[in-house]
Amino acid sequence: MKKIALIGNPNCGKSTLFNVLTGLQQKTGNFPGVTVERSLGQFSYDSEDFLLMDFPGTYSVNPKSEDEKVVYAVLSNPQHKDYPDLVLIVADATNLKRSLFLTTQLIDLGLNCLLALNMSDSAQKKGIVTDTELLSAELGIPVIAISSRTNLGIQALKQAFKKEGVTTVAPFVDIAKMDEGVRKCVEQISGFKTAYAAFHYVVNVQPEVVGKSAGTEIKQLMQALLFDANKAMQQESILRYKVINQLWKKPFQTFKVSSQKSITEKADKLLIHPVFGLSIFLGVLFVVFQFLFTLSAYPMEWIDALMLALRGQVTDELGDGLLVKLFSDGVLAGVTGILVFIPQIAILFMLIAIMEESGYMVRVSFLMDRLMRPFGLNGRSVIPLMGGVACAVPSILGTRSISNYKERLLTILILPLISCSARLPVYSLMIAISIPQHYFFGFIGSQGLVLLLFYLIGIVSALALSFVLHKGLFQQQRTAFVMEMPVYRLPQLRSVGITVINKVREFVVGAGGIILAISIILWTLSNFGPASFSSNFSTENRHDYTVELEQSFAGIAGKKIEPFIAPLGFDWRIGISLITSFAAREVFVGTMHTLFNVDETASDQTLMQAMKSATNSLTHQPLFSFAGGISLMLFYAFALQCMSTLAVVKSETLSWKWPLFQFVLMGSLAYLMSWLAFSLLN
Amino acid sequence: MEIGLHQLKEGQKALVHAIIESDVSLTLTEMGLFPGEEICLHGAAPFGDPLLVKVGNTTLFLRKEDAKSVMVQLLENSL
Repeated sequence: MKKIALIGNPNCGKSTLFNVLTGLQQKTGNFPGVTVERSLGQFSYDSEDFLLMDFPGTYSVNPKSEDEKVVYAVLSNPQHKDYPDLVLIVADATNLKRSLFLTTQLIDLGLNCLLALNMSDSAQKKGIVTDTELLSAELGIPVIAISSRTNLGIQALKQAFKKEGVTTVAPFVDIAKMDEGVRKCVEQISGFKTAYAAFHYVVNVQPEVVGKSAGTEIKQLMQALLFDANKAMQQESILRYKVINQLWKKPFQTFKVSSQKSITEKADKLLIHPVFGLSIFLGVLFVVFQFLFTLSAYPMEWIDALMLALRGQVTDELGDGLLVKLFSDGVLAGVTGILVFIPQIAILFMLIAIMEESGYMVRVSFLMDRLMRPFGLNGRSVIPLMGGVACAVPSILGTRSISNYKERLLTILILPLISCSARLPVYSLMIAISIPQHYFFGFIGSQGLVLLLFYLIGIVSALALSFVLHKGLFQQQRTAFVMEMPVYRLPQLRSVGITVINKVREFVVGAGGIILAISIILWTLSNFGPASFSSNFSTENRHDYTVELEQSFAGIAGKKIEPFIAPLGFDWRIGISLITSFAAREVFVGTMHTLFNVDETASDQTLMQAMKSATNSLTHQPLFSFAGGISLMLFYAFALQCMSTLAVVKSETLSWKWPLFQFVLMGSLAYLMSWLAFSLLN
Repeated sequence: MEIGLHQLKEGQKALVHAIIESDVSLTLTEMGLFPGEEICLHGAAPFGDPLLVKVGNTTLFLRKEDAKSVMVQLLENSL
């Protein structure tokens, strides 16, 4: 299968082209050994199969950032298992000159290249006409005008994949023209396709690529020749710009000069204005939130109702034996737990894809950078963090739009601290029980204030954690943050759709299995106990071997941890609910119904009355006193009691390391905060 | 007069004179900021950072701390 690497500047429409070429035949993973995301896609044309590898957007192959290092590691090493047979360079036809930097670097490396001039249709509308034949002759590679929006040139592009391209032109940057040290150093090594490849090998000596001894040898050589890698690369960049400026004098493109300001310039007058731009972004955030919170509620209810009906049908048809129960209450309930996330994931990805494809997301980075920087976050972190108020699961998936890995990981790590909608039922119940209602100024209720306080606790603790992790754990080399402002474009519906479908499928495949497995385990633990296995188990009214929650494994565990959680003001009943709500925080309410023998259909008042009069089995004080209530709410604010979040962090970071780190860290914080609050208030 | 890029006022034009050697200088050069290029400060994000600049035909933005490494010479006629 022919391997094609897809490379281009950020925002050149690369991912749209990837979607157009591969459709739903996509798979996402990481580049081997590193944490940079890699999308693979397959397609066939004229009975030949192609493997398309999407690389991170980059302006240059010089390895400085994590993303560039990946591009460099693959393209500079013909022995690399991902080394492509063909490099498909995507350039924005309306911004061709900028992409010539990367393009000529790739050609100089001796790679088999093909240049696709994307967005040629909108270039034409702007009066930019490109002479692809002249460009092709000068670059020595095939050049094809395409548009992933209108499918212009896509056939020709696929045709070109079948041909073997040849590079015949002289190198753009002549190493012979560089400093003496550089020249001599490059002369010393052999076995490279081009002098430029040898140059790169010298300036970027990486022991993991060349072996330690070879690395030392070259470093000694560099020292002897007073060769500074960084300076050499800079010199090379300037030389390249000069070559491009010379090249650009040729009539590759003709421009109709227009005195009118472009739509982008006009739009940016508003959209990145310090005041209006920020206000508009707040409006955008509000819309995202509304979509995620309100709009997704309908399909989520439908899924719930549908699955409930299905489970009812199953029990009606098959009885309520042990296996049927396992299937209906264990498996089908677990499947429901996966499916309910789909509307929110689809909606969030649709909105993010629209913002990405239109070019607005870069403006978000620009607008929010100053505010998010002290916390080590990207401007783009704002959207997933805000989405976290609805649910951490789609939001963690939504961090994909943050290309810097460190910033993305930080966003993922702090997201579960944001007060999500699953905490709301717990907060509402506990506030109603433990917080006496007072009115300040006649209309500000104390209960509402406490709820607001808990939302603030979520945001403040998330940012504080980010700050600490940023300063403490993830110190790294300073990298520049320079980006080009792309022009605005209409997002392409088909590409947005493909993105949404692919992401939903990735979630179901990646995290779905874990969620299903954990929910079956939790169901088993809370429905069976040691008594289920004793020989004198009464089968009269319990022919399915299930036991009451209190006698179940989960119930017994809840009682066992009582001494450990007693300092927080909790007793065994809260112990049990801490275990069951690992499935999802809102399960707390259902567990309270069970433990206080209140039917789920009974009014909220009945449950609240029962809980209000409950006393702690150890101290005989009211269990849900002011101190006890605050302590419990703090525990739910900080602890990572959500298996779906853990599953999704695992599938996004590709290791159990980070979800376990989060689980332990947030659990310890929860214990500490609850203990402090209970000790102070009681 | 040689000043840092971050000291330009909105609308002012200047010539890039030098890039101070640092971890970020290569990135800046690759983006087209190198001696001899004309640069114009277009504006800034909320709270004055990052800066929006025009180099050649392209509009870039960069952080103030990175802009400090770009030494420029103010063009006389751009006040």
